[in-house]
Amino acid sequence: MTSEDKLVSECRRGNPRYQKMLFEQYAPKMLGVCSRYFHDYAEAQDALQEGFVKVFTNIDKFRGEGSFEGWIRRIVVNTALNLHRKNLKHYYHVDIDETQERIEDFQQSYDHLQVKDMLKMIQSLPPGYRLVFNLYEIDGYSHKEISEKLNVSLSTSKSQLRKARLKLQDMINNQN
Amino acid sequence: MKTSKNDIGRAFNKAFDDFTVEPNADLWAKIEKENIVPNNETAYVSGASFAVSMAVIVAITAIAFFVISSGYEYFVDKANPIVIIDEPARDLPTQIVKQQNDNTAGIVEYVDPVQKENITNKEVVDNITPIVIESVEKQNAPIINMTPKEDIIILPVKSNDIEIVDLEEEFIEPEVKLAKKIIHKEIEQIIEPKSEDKSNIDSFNVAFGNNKLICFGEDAILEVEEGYIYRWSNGGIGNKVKVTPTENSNYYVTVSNEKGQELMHTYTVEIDRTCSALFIPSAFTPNGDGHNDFFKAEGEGLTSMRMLVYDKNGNKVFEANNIDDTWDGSYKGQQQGAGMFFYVAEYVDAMGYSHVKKGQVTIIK
Repeated sequence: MTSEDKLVSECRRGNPRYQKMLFEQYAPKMLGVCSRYFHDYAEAQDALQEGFVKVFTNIDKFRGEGSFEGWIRRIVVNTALNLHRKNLKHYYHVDIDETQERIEDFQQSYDHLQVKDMLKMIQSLPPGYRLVFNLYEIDGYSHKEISEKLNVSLSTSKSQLRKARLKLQDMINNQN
Repeated sequence: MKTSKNDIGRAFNKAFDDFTVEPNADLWAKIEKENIVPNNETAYVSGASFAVSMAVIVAITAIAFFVISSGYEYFVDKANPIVIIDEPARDLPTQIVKQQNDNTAGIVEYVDPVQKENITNKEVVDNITPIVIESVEKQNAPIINMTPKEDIIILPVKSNDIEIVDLEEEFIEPEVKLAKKIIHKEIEQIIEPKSEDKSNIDSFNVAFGNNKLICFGEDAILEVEEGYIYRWSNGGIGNKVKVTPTENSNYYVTVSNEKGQELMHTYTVEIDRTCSALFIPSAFTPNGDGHNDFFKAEGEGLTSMRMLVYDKNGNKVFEANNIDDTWDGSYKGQQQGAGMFFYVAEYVDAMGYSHVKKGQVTIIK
């Protein structure tokens, strides 16, 4: 039995000691995921908290197919999206037209960028862009999956992604 | 330029690959406080099993003492007694309780028959998607049956009709969970079949649509299965009615068939205060009296709004590119007379989703 299997099976029985171990092992990474989805650190923590409660209460549904981390990650991402839906009222943001008439120029080097700057950029995107960009570019969901998750059309998902890239591009250029 | 897989996406993807953030120190305490017990039936029983095993030891020791003192030779492994507790419940795992030598919590090891089944179960955990609330409510729509005579028999709804697939349940908003519970309760209350013989029942089935959750200013369409006679509390007589409440409201519909049987159903339309919406007035009076002199869209939490107003001849008389733009009722410097105009408004809400709203606005003189 590998340590991960042990962790899962103990958590499946609700063993608090192992629940804590699981939390400690995966929380930093999952908070890294959550941070990208929210403008605000406190909200990211809320999502993480809710996500882990879901992980623990539903752990018996993890059947060991695929990676455990991937499973947790999906739950955390879904929780983040749910929380977004609930917190809509807080998000009053930015005019979208400002990015529209620009020539797309993505072919450049981004090696000089720091992750924390990139996180700030993502966090400052309007929520709609941020969700699609995160889901598509970083968490690897397809446009079809995104359109289902966010309940929008395929073309909305695609155009939001395009605008998100433009906006990020803009921020990167301004930073230089 | 091809943008499907581009450098910016790759750069971010790579940067965040092993990105971590340390959570606040008190976060675990918060989670722990929720007292998490997995959904399965084998909750952790360390305390209980410890108590059980202690009791078992006492019992065995007592028996052993009794046996020995009775003159029989009898071997009992006091250090590591193994006791099998029979579980009468159908699917519960057989638990084997071992006593540990150290005095910490006992360990319960078990063979879980359910777990074995789960492995072959086709339900795929991986495809977790947040569900659309509407579809859940649809599954929940109660089906009520009625007999032709005065005896009203409401058949029990199969549990399938109201069951929500476990996996999806975690993504259901709490309100819907609550609604599910209430439906359960209602069904329990109304199931009182008067006759066991269902073959004699010529039942009157009507499928009612879902309750609605709308944004402020949006329309909700309430519907009932076609083919009957309808009376709605707002005066409507069709099987569908369009309502635009400005606060949480209930609507009633009485459905009757040609035999004179009647069923009544209540719909709840709730306003979601958290979502952004656009409100466009249907008339204004540009006469300079200081009241309603301008035509203007109102909205909250929109990221952008664009509205075009046309006259009856299709001339564009006004264009707003901003929520704050107002129209004074003039076109090319000339004040327009009383009449009807048509608007198309496109707006993007706070989540970045686009909506289009079309309608009419009247100038009253």
